[in-house]
Amino acid sequence: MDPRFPDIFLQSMRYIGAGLAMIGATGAGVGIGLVAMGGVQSIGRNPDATSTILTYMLLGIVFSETIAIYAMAMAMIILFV
Amino acid sequence: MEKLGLNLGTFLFYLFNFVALMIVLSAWIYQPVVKALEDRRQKIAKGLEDAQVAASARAKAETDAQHVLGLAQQEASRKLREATENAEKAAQEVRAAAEKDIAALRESAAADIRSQRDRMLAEVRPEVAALAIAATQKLIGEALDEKRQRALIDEFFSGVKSGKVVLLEETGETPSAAEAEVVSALPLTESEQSSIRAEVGRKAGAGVRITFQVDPDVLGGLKVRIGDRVIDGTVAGRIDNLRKTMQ
Amino acid sequence: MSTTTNRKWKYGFKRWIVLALIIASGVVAFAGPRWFAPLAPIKPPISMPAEEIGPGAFLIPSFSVGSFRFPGVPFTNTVLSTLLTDALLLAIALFVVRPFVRGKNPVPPKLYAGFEMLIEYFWNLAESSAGVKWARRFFPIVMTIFLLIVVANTIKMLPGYETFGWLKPVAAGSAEKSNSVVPIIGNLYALVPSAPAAVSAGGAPAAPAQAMYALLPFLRGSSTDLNFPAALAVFTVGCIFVFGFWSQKGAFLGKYFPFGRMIAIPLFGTIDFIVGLLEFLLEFVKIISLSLRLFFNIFAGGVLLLIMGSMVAVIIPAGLSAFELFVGAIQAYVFAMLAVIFFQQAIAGHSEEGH
Repeated sequence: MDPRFPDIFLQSMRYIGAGLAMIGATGAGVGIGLVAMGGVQSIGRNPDATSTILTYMLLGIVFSETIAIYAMAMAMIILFV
Repeated sequence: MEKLGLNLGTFLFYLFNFVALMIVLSAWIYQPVVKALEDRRQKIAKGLEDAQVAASARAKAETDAQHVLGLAQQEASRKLREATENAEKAAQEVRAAAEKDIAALRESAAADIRSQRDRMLAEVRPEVAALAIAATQKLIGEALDEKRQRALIDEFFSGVKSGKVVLLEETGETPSAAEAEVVSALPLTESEQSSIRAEVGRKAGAGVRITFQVDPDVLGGLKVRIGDRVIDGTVAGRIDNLRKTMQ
Repeated sequence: MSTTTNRKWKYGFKRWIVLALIIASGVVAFAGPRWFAPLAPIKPPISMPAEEIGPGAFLIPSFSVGSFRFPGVPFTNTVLSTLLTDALLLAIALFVVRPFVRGKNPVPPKLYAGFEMLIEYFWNLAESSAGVKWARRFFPIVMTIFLLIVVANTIKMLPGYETFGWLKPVAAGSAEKSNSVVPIIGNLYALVPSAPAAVSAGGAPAAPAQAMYALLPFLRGSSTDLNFPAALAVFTVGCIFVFGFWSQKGAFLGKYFPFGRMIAIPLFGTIDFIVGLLEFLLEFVKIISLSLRLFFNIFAGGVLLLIMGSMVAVIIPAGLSAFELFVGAIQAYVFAMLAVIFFQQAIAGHSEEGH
């Protein structure tokens, strides 16, 4: 057996784990899409409230994005730490 | 933690850096800028308020001006009307005065003419009587009693026989009246006038006012009007009656 | 046929510059390795911690008081970048804001007017959410958070950031990305992709004669150092407690530790106590979520830009750079906005009494 095997195996498992961790970004993507959909629909119904809706839409997107950020944090930690 | 890069020293550096920056920027930027913003906001609000006050004041001034204008117009029209009335009144007065003057002049002239005529007729009266006597003497051929003749003629002209008014003797009662008019062909003498006055006064009432008129057209006799009743005893009236009867 | 109006074509000047730059970048990216080695794109080093500029360069050296050991403030590239950001902000304050505020000129210069518009936006945000009294107290925090992050994220996009620095020798066989170097002038070198051909040409499995290096950039975006967003997040959450206690006194602590309710109604009071404890813990989760959001957005953006740049050096990095500017501004806005919301919640409390 190659003496470098444990290191190579660990490294490859890290890559796989990081990739799997990023699956969590899927939900965030769906969430961001839903928030944007709601925001655009409400702007279409009430264009006068665009600025207010935009603010809350951005906030919603950011909260949704936080989930993807957590996933990415996990991936990064798996990869580098 | 080391792999993530977390480091207490760096962390505290950033914290201190942030707080220091916050204090400096707060003093140099935020306080003056926010103060300027608030000042501007207040200024704008005050400006709007002032504008509102000014607008209401202007509206008030406009209504006041409208009011004053209306008053002035009323005053002007009143003055105009008064002036017109005054002028009309003055013109009317002037005209009335002129008319009165004219009427007075005409009256006096007419009175002059009448009195002159009356005087002339009065002067003519004895001559008419003399002429009538002479003509009668010639016609009849005998001398008439001069005194009787004259009385006859006087009676013809005055309708007054021996102090009595023949005409009034013949007529019955007359209603009492305030005014009476006596028309004769020639001016009447004072005695005749007084007897007629007494007679008419008896007929029409004591307070009656009698005017004497001379009208040669009646030829002879008297025409007496008491109130609205006319008693025609003139020659012209009799001739007229005669003519009417003969027709 | 076509109802569209024919716009007259104009031979502009700037568009030719842009076209020339696109073509040049294409030439450099694809023909670089063959014709002009120093300009070839390399696979970038990715390092989560900030790198120290020079070994042992400390702003404040480490010391220990008793058993407590202060690790010192290493002079890293992110610290340098932060100092640059501070300098830029102070320059704005000194040369844009103060001349107008102190001066008698009633007409503001354009730069000041834009800056004032920004401040007015956040002032209105703070005032409408918490009223003038409290807005005056937390407005400097929110505004400084926004300005610091937005300026840091914007100057991060300047050329030279993450691309200019010391050469760091890398031991062969290390996990770090390494590249070979070619000299340009004097001590100035350019990193080039390490040629695998050279290794194979040597034939020998022994270490290649060529020395391998990694880049240690002088400047790196402040937000890509986890300490920076963590410091801001810790300060923000600390201020949540300060403002909450300041405005509500004991009621603020009662929100997290409802002992009174637990004594009054034991069963549901216990549930309330656990919920309050969870809320107390959630306040600390806010630190993690605030700091990680900013850190990973900017860090991932930078990594994406570098990797994309090493693969497709034309057009796409330009678009991504523009997107990075946008993301940087959005993250700054979101951080400030969330701070406003947290402060507002802390001041008003759950029952909204008094406001």
